[in-house]
Amino acid sequence: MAATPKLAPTPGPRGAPELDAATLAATQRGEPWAQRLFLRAFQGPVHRLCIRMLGAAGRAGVAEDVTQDALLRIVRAVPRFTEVGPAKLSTWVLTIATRTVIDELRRRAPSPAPLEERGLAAGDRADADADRRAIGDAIARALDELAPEIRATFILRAYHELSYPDIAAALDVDLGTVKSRLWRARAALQLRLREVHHG
Amino acid sequence: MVDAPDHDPEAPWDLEETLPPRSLLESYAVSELPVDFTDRVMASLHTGAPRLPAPSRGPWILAAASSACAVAACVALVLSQRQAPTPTPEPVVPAVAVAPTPVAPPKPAAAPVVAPPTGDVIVQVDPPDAIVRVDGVRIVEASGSPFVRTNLLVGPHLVEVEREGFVSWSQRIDVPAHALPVSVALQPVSIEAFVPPATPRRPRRPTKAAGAPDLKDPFGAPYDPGRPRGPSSPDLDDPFGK
Repeated sequence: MAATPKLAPTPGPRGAPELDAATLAATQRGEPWAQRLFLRAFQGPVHRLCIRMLGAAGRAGVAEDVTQDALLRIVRAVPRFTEVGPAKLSTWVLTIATRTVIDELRRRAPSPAPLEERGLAAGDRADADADRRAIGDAIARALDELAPEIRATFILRAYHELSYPDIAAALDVDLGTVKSRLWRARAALQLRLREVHHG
Repeated sequence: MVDAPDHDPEAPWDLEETLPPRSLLESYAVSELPVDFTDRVMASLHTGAPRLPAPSRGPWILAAASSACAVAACVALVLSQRQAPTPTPEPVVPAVAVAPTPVAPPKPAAAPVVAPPTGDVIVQVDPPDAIVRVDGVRIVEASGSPFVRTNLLVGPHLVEVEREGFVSWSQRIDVPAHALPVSVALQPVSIEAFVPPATPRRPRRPTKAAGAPDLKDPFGAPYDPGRPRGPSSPDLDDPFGK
């Protein structure tokens, strides 16, 4: 077995490092040591994407299961990834993950959680942590109310810093649709954050 | 009617700047993966299982114990046979995976092309299911308003909004090099637009005879085929007047 080289991540979209060429090539050849490094590099960003995409539907371990499904699809598809293609590896990984989660959301019935469960009770503003938690809950709630495609657009842009063309390619829509969806997501977010801010 | 949309006036309208600040976004924290997550995915990957569930503590201890026993048995077997350990077989690699990535030939350097400046127009419409056209081209948004048209050349463009039951709206707007919001609230059409107010009816012209109307010439003179035609009447036998 080949010696395990150290992972040398280079900056990619937020939270998603790029693999070095040797590790990527070994992953494409199916070498376990490289697959393990590949997973360690991308499982965090994919998991965060899945959790935020699933929202309330991602509780009770569902987000972890969907993350695992997405990673399995990604590792099995990685031999087909070519660096000369339009997408960087991290963008390509997030694209597959996003499509996996959207498929999962389409299969599931929406199950919005009650307000109290999300910590939006009025008495939760005693300290900065509670404020931050309330804001986080408001963001989660606003995202939950969006259609999965709009939610994906916002998350890919806001949390993973994909470019507009990359998001358009990932979701198979045109640039105008990306902007329109971002506009909607932002409006929903403003509404929820205004509720938190003004009580 | 081009005015500011209904949004926070402090928030800039450039779409690149419309996202909330990073500190706000990070308030939506997410949990971390368990430490054995990578192992589970690797096991699932190489056993072909669709997904391995998170093990609970009891079965995990049993599995570890049984694995240790199996390893001990293997070691004992190997030592008894005094054979050199064989390397772990590498997974079968599909041909497509080992094929080297073709390197694209370098393209000849092209002269730089300066793209003309473009901007976007975002039409927010009430009612949201109105039909919006920019320069005569309809913008289709599956979920209605806002309607976004990107990559318009900077300069004047015609925006039209219409919907059945509402007064149509159109205006020529100057698209800048960034996003221009346009807010349009269509006014419902009043009933008078469809049904004009009743006007007093003109009294009928009295006919020559007080009885039934003359069917041959309901406008007056009785029909006479031998009557000479007036100068303004076209000659039907010689329509070109030769």
